[in-house]
Amino acid sequence: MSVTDSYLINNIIYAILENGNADANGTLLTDMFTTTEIVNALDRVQQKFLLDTGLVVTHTTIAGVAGTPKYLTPADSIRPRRLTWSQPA
Amino acid sequence: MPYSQFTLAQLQNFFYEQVDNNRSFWRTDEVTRILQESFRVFNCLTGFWRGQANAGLTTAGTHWYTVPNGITYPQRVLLNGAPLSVSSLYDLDYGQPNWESETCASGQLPSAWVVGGVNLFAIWPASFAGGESLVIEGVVAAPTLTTSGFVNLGQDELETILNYAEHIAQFKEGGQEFNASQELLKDFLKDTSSRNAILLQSNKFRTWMGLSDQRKRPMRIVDERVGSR
Repeated sequence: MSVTDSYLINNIIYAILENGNADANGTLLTDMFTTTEIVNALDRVQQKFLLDTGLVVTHTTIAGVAGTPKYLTPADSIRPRRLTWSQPA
Repeated sequence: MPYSQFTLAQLQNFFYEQVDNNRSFWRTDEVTRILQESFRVFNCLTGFWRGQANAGLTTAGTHWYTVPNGITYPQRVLLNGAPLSVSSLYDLDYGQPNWESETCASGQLPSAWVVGGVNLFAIWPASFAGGESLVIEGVVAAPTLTTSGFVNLGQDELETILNYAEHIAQFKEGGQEFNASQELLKDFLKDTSSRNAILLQSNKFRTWMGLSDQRKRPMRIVDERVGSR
């Protein structure tokens, strides 16, 4: 399922009654909200949803180094959910 | 109830019948979006629309695979056309701690699969030589409502979806109309829980539905008095 950014923005425009007397097409009737604010709000909610649910996950293998007790998590990691130890083949 | 084919125009008319045919307050484009949202929420809660997708071939020694596009969340994995047993990460982690290091012996095939997330799944043990076909069955996206084509729905599903559509539409109206639509939301949640018993195990869901009996059985006696036993 693919939902575009503009689809979501137009849904928000309907929810905050900013479409006026026309179909929502990305244009805001008043200056109460800016498009940037709507996009930022969508981003924030999306990040919170991912953080709360952990629905979309990635799997990364970090090579162990002898005598090293601490390792960096991947740069794009929001929250580690599971850590396992894998025997070398 | 028998299934019928509904066009977008028919669905919009059903919606307008529920809101006194007020076509000025809810524009047609808006109603299409409301109905689309209702379809998607209904599908998320019940897994109503299902299908399968090809996930390619296994790779030797690989446990983790990506769920193919088109599958919203996986429910069944077929390897060379035969279903794998479903397990869980918890069971494998605690029952077979080295599972991510285990590979089939020559001539054997993986026997179980687990969900990692909506976009990731694993098989155990890993394939020995690779090359087996992987097919994923699961919930697919709700149909996209367009002016051409039909959506197959039974009368029960139609009423459930229209209840939710009216509820989210009334958010625009606000006030007492929106408050009154909370009953429609409850009907919607009740109908979805009859299709998905897992919902009834969810604490959040039970709270929304007023099914929690925490208030009836408080953890602490609130009106303690001197001398009370």
